[in-house]
Amino acid sequence: MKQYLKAIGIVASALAGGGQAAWAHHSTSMFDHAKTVTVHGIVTEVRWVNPHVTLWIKGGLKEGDDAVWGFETTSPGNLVRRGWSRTSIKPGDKVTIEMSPMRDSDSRGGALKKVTIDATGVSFQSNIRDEAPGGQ
Amino acid sequence: MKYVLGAVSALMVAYLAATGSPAQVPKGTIIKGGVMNPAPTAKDYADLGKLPDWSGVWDPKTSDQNAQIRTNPPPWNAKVQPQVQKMFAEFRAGKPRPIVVNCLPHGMPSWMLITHNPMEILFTPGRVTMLGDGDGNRLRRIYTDGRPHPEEPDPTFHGHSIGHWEGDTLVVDTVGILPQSFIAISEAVGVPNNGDMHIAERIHVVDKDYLHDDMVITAPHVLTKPWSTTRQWVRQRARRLDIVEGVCLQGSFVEGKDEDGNAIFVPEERSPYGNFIPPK
Repeated sequence: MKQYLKAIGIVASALAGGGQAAWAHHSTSMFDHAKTVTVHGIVTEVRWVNPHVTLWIKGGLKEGDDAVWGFETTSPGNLVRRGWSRTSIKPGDKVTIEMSPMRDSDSRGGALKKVTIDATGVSFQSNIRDEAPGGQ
Repeated sequence: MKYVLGAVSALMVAYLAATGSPAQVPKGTIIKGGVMNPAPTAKDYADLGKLPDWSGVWDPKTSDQNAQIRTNPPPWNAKVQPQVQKMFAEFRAGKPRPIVVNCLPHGMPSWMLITHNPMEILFTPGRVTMLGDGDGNRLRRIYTDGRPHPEEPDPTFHGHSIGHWEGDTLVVDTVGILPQSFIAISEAVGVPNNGDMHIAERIHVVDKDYLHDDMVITAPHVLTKPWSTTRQWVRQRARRLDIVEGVCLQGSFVEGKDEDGNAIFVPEERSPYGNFIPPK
């Protein structure tokens, strides 16, 4: 029931807001790409969905910080091209994240550039880049 | 009486012709007519084997997409030019115009201009079909069976496309695109074509693994003259890079449960620019 009411509430408020509806796909100029900020934490959730995969941690800028942070990156299909799979990063992994922060700097989140699993040192990047043809 | 019945029948026939309404047609009548698409023959399938190899997954060359924003801007007309400049300014200020965030198809020509997800191209008798990964609802049907455009095509996101082969080059002609379909040069800069747009394409493989789409876009309501641009893709064959389903709207929902414990999708809030809302 709660979920149902929550769903109704969100849809109702979105409609009542008028003007621009809120959608999940966008350009990336709300992130400050000139900066790179490092965040440490433990993964709580990975949402492997189009059009943008999101990754959530509990942690912060300093060891011992324990706040919720969220990071956004490109689509699952594009991440596979960079070597990711849906299960590359899992809840419970201790990670180090490099990100482009939101331009409004009081948000705890940004555009994911690189995530490293602390235990193994394996890292994954998320920029789409030109590649040579493959598999001839 | 006969005269009255005859008149009523004539009216029914006229009504049927005008509306095609089955409710007016005597039970059992089969509506006939119109052009038939013939069943393909074994020769039709064999002829597909003579076409160039466009198999694999095609990744757009995103560095070229980005470069052409500067090097090859469309010839916007005087009414549109200031709107485009304003969009660039908004983008630089971190408040991008959200022109493609609503998960409607990018449509033509924007699929070829800005979409940075891969696509694949299928050959079947009488048809070339392009299918996209991600960015929702990307499908182009290019009819190569010699048919003309309809006189008044129903407007659609990708238009009505007909094509023929000149050697190894597919020559495509597209009309009937919705006026709301953007000529987008980035995800934050572009204007609707506003109708009467025509797109001519010559699509061909270069250097074995590069697909080039030489486009000429004519949009009399927003461009001062036809705009030429060549867009490029790179071929990949690794199975791990196969095209995957990508439903754009899925990102606007989270996994939840209904009151009976069933797995459902629940809408989730997004920012006005379309991105997720990180915690504060």
